[in-house]
Amino acid sequence: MAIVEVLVPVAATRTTAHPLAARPARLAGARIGWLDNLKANAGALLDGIAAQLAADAVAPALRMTKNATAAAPEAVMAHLRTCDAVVLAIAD
Amino acid sequence: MSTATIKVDADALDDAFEARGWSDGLPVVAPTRARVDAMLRYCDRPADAELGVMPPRQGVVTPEILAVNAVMAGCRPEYFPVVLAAVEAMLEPAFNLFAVQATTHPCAPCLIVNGPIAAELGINGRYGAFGPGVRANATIGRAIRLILLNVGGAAPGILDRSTQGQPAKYAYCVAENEAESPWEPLHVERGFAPGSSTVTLTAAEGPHNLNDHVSTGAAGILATLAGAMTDMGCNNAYLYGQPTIAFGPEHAAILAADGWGKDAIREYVFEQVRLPRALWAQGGMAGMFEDLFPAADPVPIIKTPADLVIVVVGGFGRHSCWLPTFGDTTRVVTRAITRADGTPLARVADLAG
Repeated sequence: MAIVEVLVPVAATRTTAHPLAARPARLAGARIGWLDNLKANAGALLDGIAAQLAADAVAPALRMTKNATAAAPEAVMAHLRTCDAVVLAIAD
Repeated sequence: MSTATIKVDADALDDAFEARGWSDGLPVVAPTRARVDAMLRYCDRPADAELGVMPPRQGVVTPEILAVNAVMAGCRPEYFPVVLAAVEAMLEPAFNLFAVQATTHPCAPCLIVNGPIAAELGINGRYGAFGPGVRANATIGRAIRLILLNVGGAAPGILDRSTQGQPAKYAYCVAENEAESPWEPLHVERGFAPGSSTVTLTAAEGPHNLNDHVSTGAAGILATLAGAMTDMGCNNAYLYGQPTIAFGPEHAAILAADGWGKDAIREYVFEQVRLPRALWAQGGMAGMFEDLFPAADPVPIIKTPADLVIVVVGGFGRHSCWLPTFGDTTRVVTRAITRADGTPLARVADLAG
């Protein structure tokens, strides 16, 4: 058996840590934002979350949409920063 | 940052690489130290220079890790400057490689090489240029895919979410047939000197054929083209972007003989390749991107005529093709093939000294 030494083709990674934002202590009375990428399966997930929130009498205060193939534009992000929490579904 | 090594049974190399997820499914050339160093003779940057981070896995891009994958793909060492320039093009923010890699759409980065280096390396721009048979096209294209897999982490079903994929995800590299084009070559149109060499990247579907063996004038060829490109299922129909038409030299010659230049063809496509708004009421993707949908009716597939990319590719025969793209979320990027200091490279052989 001939043994050959080869270089590993997988690169090292460099990721940037994105710490989670502080969670609101309670949703009642909180300003909830909604970011929909308009994809069908994301919509199904958002609908399910909306139904759960509605059971607790929590409704989104702000609904925004974004292009699924790119980051949300700064104008959308500026609106969402006025919220205590934002619900975003990532699906296809 | 030095690249790790492992020892494997030479007769079981392919199984070992496939088992680790380091393969595109085809047999690979063993990336030994000697072969990687030979590849790096055609690179005047430090082997460990960091050129960027490749999404979505955020792999650190260095000449050495690119060379490892280029060896695996079967590249001759002199192909490496093209591989490097193509990677740099893909890392430009305008290309939006994160989305190109991760989307469910079947797009793949397509390399179009212009200038004297294409001939020096024997990159095919004539018969069957998009197909098999020429080592430069096959292995440069394959090296890009292996890099996207092993550095960018675009494993199918994991970080590459393409629903079906497409054959061009194995390799997608052509030269423009500048010698048989009646028009200015792509890189010159895009602002590079005629004697320079470049690689242009577009995130495209596979080529869609435009077959017209009957028309002897421009009007007929353009009608064929418009019929084929009026395509409700392509992303350009609602996301615009920069699709490419690759004219076969015979079609290009007929168009030019009738006085059609690239800009006139672009105006024609902008005006004539349009989908009636009523079609979108029956189905399709318009609802998902309603905010992007224009007021025009019928709706063009490009935002402006200038967004249409036109090249000449192929041998004799009355076929052309068009390459629908991922949409306007990715832009076509052209990079000059240069030395590390940015000086255009006249010949890759000059790098090896």
